[in-house]
Amino acid sequence: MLAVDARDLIKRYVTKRRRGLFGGEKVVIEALKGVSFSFEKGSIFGLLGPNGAGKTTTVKILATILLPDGGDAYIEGFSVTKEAHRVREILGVVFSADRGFYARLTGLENLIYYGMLYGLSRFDARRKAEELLDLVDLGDSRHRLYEEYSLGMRARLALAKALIHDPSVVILDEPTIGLDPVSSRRIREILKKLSREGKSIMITTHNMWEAEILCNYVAVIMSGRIVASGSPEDLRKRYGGQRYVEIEVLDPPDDLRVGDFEVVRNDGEIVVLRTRSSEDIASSIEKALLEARSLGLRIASIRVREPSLEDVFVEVVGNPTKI
Amino acid sequence: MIEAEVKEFIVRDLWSITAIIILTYVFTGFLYIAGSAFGGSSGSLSTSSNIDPFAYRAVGSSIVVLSMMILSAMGQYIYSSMLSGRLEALLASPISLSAVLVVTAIPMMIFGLSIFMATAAPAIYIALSKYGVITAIESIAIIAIGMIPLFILGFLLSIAIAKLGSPVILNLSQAFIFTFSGALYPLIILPELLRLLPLSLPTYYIAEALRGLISSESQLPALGGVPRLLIVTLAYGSIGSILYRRFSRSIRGGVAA
Repeated sequence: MLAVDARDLIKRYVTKRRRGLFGGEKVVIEALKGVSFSFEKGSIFGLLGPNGAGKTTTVKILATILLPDGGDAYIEGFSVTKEAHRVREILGVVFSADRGFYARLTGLENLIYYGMLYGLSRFDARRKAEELLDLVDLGDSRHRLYEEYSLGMRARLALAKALIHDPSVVILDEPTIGLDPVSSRRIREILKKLSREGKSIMITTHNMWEAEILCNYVAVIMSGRIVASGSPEDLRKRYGGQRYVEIEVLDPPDDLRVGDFEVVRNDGEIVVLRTRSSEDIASSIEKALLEARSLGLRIASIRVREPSLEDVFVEVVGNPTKI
Repeated sequence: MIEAEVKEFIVRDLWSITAIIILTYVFTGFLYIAGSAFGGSSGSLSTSSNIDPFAYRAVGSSIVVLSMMILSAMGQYIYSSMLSGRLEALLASPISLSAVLVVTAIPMMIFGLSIFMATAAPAIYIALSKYGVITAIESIAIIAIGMIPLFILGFLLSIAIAKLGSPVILNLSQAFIFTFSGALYPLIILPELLRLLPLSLPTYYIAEALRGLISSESQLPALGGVPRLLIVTLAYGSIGSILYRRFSRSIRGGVAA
């Protein structure tokens, strides 16, 4: 069964562009131009894209807080436009890691409030809130005011809030943005745990490394269109293609010639050069070594790097005409 | 759910609530002195009124203070919810925004009533001593009814602030209501054309209904102002309902969100 099935979503914003002191004209911005994607229940899906690509608009439509101008999306079979109430019951959303709470209430009180918004009794809301606070490592801070929480704690509380009504699908808009590595890792661990427990998770991010280690399936959105989709492995094969051979050169000469290599780093004493190869690993290394020797370079080390999702992203976003 | 709203409200506004109660008495006192200085002992009161001048002004000041508080709290509600990210969370939950607004209004109404009783104590004392507990309860009921159009007015302001993205309109509205509330002075002192402004605001009708209640010379309290207050409440309710429907459509269309 599909957890989320977005079909040809279109969204336009009408905004006003100022002209002079009192003048202005209406401008239509096409945020989504027919976005379609889907992913299976129980998987982690990543919607990747640069700033302004349409990620947040997509999330808002899926969360039923924005109506699309065209197309529809289904959360576990329920239409976000026609069955919004049912969608809200089975969907947990984190719009922003550090917003959406009452600053002068404690973490526990905030969660109880949201639990009751989702129809839980006070008793059930409290029980669930305490359980979730333990899950996100905030058990000891449950009675502290929200305004005293650090950014990492707020992000974990936001995740707990999204889970308060035990939704089967959870959508998180940039869940680790601005967080330190320890907090980000903890969020990822919790998301993996939730996925193992059978929850369907969708995240938006422009952190490719995070998407690579977390997601079973990803889609790249750019200028309101999905420009690539598949598993991270599929995308690497399709768009990453060639592997990189990187060599470290010691004491580079002043008149350094790099031939077919591109310079990755040059700090005077060490130069890192890189070349691409579609051949097997042994042949790739052999070819790079031959090239380096012909240029008279002193090689300190050599390594082969498989293309990452980031390489795919740069390839896709940097050269959309190739898609 | 109400508890969360109440706690946030009390903690945020505790000191300002205390200050408001004290300042209302200071303000009433100044009005009394100014009125007595310019208009003699009755202090520019309507000639038909036999109400104690201080109580008259206590009613007016309390209504103005109450309307300022409600306008400020409701006026900023949607905008501050947007800024804090709570509006998105509310819209994504199964509960309707209108239910949340009503729930938010309940603690404010309770506080509004408490503050009114604290600031209008002289008037309430007169009502109690003249007509007994029933009339005091009636005056509280009038305030409770009167707060409904005030909340609607605050909500309409809130929509305007959310659309404009700036709370400056709130300050302007408060200045307008302060000047043209119709609760601080008799309408007769205004030029005829300007009298339409207080007549369009609920504050005037609340003051009229309350003063009617405590200034009657007969053994029974005068309820003449109550039907007019109910009509104004209905009118504001109808306008609020139409504009709320338009707003909830536009917010999901992406204009205000």
